[in-house]
Amino acid sequence: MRVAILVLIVASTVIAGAKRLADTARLSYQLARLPDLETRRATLFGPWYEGVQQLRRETPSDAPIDFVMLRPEARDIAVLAAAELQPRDVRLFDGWSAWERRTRAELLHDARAANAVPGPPPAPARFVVVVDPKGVQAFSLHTRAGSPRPQ
Amino acid sequence: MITLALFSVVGTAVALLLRIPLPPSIAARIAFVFLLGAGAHGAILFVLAAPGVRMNLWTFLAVPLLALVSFGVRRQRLRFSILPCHFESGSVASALQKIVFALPIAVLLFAAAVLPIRDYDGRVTWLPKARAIAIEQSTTGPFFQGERGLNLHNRYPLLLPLDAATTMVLSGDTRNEAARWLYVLIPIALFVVLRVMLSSAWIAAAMPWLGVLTAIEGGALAAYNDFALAAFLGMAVLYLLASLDQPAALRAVGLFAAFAVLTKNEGAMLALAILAAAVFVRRLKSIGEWLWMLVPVAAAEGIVVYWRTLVPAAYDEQYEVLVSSLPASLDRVPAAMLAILRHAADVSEWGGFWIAVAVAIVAVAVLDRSRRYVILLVTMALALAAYVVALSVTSWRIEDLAAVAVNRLLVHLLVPAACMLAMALRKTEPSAGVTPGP
Repeated sequence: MRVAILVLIVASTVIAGAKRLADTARLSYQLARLPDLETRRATLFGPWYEGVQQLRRETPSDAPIDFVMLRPEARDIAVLAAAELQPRDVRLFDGWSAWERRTRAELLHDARAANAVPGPPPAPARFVVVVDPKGVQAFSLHTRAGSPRPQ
Repeated sequence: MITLALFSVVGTAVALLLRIPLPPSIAARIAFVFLLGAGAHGAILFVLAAPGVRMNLWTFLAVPLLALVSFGVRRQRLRFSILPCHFESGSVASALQKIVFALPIAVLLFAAAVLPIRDYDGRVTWLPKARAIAIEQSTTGPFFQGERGLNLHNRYPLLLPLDAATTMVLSGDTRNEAARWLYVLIPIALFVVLRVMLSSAWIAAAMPWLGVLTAIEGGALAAYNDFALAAFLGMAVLYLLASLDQPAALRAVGLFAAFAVLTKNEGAMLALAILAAAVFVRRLKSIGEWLWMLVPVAAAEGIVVYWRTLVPAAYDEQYEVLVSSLPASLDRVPAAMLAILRHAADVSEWGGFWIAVAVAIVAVAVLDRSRRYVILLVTMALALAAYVVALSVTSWRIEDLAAVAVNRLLVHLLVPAACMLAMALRKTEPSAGVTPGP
């Protein structure tokens, strides 16, 4: 009786975990052939990651950068890119009018949490990045003087 | 190697200095001192960083160097004490059980060496905190003041980010993967300790499968802190049970509960659950035992509260608002309970693990309501009650929040649940002659 119960518990756990384990092993084996971590990241994360790598190459490591997100779907990659670009000071804005008002994006809204982004509105950054996952490039870099904001 | 050596040295020193008994096998001792060291190192840095000590290379090296010095100074007087072993081994079944145990761990190690960190919370919430500490050398610098970069959940506790920042600085690499081994070795260390401290080797062998199985992004490969919280709560539970036979084991309980407080917000509730189990079920018998339990937890709560006065809130929960809204949210409690039950009973996510745990809770209640049972029941019941409340009072749709949160919350309770299951199985085995373990 005890053995039967034990077999049932362990087998159900192993069987349920086997697919995930096999998937992890297969993915690791495939990526292990790639030469370095950056290549593996680019393969795993998709085209947006290459865009972030380009931004990293084209901006100084301490540069403030304004991200202008043109549509709600841009948030996911904008947040991930902001983390990847650290220590650059990336600020997120929902569209051009928020960017002009210097009002940062509110990423979560929970009436019972503290949602306010700390600190005063940030000064305009030298670099402006338009984030549009449906665009030709997910991230297009501009200087503030040459930003493509609609008039 | 830096990760393993650094935290193991610190943990060994803490175990020696505080005379904390170690698990009964070499591998489990290494795993235990690694967990103890990861917790102690991050906790010490948390205490130092809040009042403004710079988190630079020398500070990161100071704790392990002091640990090494302590070996030399007190070498003659200090000896490890060891907990008793709870189950036999050596049969063919034992060999098979070792394979079942080792296979997912081998895959985890291989995958950790190859795959980038890919979970969203690790990349967006936790590792940017570690990188900011490594770069700004502070837990109150511009990043934490909201003046630089994007810091989501600004007031989340920083034990793990401080450990991760240490590995980043010592390895000279602030990419996410510099902290990879810290996050992977924590669940592996948990499974290794569990394997010798659980009274059912087969249940212990199944646990790493839950580590890769859990339907949270990345499972044990992720850099969110839920497995660390599970490990710290798990060590506290195992050592609280061990303290029934060996009172010196209680010294580790308060420490690990304190590490839980410093790891995630949920850790405060889990520490309270452990305290309640220690005070009301295990019963503390001397002032010394009260101090061992209360001082670390109170100090951890104190340092978190103090540090939070130094940094603004940003996307942080307001617990006073949430708790005060509980009366108005009571109608959501059944839906919250149902959401937890639905995820726990999902065989594709957990196999039959949580279903078996539920049966075990009932079975052991009938067969033997010992203090071991009540300790486990109190810990799990209080934690689950807190999680039901947490799901009920938020303004999220419960199904949406449950989809991303419940499996993580269940991960926190892996060790007490496994202990309950092992206890039930032992009760069905009348000839189990070895010392009853957790």
